[in-house]
Amino acid sequence: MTIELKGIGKTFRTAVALHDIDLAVAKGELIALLGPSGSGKTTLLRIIAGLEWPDTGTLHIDGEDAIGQSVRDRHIGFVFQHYALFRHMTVAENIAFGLRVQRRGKRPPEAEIKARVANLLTLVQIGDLGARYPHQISGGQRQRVALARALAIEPSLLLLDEPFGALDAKVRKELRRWLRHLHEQLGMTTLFVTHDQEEALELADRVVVMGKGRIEQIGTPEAVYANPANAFVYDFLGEANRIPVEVVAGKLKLPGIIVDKLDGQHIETGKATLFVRPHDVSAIRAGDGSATVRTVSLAGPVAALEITLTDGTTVDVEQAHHLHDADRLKPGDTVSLRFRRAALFGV
Amino acid sequence: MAARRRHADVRAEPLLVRVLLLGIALAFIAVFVVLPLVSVFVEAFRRGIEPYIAALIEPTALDAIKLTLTVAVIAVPTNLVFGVAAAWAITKFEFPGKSVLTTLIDLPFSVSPVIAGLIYMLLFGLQGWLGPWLSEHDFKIMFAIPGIVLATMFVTFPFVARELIPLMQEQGTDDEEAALALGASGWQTFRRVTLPNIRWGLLYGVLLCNARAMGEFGAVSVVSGHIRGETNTIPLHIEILYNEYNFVASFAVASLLAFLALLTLLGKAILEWNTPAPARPTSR
Repeated sequence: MTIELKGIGKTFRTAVALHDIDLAVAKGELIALLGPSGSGKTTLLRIIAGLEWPDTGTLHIDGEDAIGQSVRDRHIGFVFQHYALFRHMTVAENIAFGLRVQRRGKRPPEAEIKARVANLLTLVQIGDLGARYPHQISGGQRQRVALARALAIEPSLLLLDEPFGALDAKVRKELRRWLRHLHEQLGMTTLFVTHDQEEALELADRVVVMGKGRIEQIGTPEAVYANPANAFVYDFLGEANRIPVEVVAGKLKLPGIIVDKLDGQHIETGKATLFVRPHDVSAIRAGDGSATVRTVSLAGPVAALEITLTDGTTVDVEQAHHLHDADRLKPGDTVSLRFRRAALFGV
Repeated sequence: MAARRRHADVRAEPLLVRVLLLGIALAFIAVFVVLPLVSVFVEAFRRGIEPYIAALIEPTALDAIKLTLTVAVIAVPTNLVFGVAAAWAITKFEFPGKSVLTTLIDLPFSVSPVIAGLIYMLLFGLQGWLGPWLSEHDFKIMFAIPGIVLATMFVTFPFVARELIPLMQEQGTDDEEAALALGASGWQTFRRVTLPNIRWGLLYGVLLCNARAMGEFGAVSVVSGHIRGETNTIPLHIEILYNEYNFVASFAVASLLAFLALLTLLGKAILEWNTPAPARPTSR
């Protein structure tokens, strides 16, 4: 199922929720809508589902105008952030709901409903929990029930609102892999909303980065991570040092720091911000260096150093342990810095 | 050792304070709740069981009981439907004037029942706005059953809505949206998802509404006209008997209402015992 949004805008009583959103999703894609809270990502998902209506713009699902269709007619699988399981029904009854409410002519016979529920329970790997009530199972299991319930109506489009938001870290990672496999197995077009960049980058075919009601960048996880389109995306995806700099006649004024590769905007003159990821910084011991080591933390997968520039700006540096062991920097040492890769954006 | 004792002291008040607090609470309940309730039954059975039963099966008493039941049978289901509709509208939709509607629902709680009765008198009475037109067309509202039903409905309107609004607000709209997304119609969503979610709160609201509908005195007293055997409800009948110094009969009929109150409390206790904590009705 393909989705095409053009010029979608939505204003709530107090604030603009979405501004001129254009997005095209191909059949079978797994798309992440990624952004901080208030970026409009959930509103966008609800508009596609038919739970919210845009003020402007068009929405085509499989080439058909969907704006006039109610949520009931769109036949879309929607998984709510807090699952919205029907608490007075058992797990099996929850999953069967979408089949049992179908019109008399279309409703499958009870035996077939039972068989399909059993299949779905197996598919989401909770085959033995059918008779339990939602309050009797764990959060991860509830998530699987919510998914099975949405899949029961055999939608060709699956929408998930913060699917792992309410789960603890370990279950989250496990469920995320499992969802990726399920997506590949079923071949459905899938969109999910998340504020967790790690989740979006690991899971999605393409990531839609949103901020303040606008789409900031669309691309594959590699592309948005390696080439952020602007300061917002750079800041939001991964760790980033922000260093205020001045540009004079197209040249960066940054005494004592070597920048190997510079992306971002070309700024002729004026103030700008230099973004650099902690793992793209090398600190080299130098007696006449312009930066000073403040702290060194060796617990964890990398050696983390906090380094202060002459103007007081703090730069976080992450070095592989074996590189750090060769140099053994200590607090108080002066160093010179090398940015293997950085990006410059206007203030 | 000293530290441990101090620790225990923090959690448990001194014996004297505990006894004092408990004593005050128990004494208060005994004097203001239990004693009057017991006295109703004591007075009712003062001359034994026969006068008690005689007072209940006497024709005007039976008429009063019948009328009260009729009023409750009309007013309670009507308020059930209106209460659910109002709570649904307020909690599931956004619309202008929502806070005004919420406030208006509380109006019958804040207005004295006597005033409520007088409002209906002003509207439908012979000297009222609609009175002349109504009497021309032979509609009898004041001093007749329709007036009593209207006054009772006004006074008992908030019970169901008030019980449901916080409950439905807390439950949000996710369940309904999920049902719609799964292809359920509006009615299926209400019948299969919303109603089961609110059933205990709804039942509790209906219980309270019923207790008040049967016990309402002020508003009904204004609009009824106190016609014996015709427009006397149980509370009005009790008052008349009492004013005639027929204490045994008046307390006998009063014991019926007291019994109803006890049944309501019992029902409430059973509901709370049956309901999982998050969906439990809020106690008033």
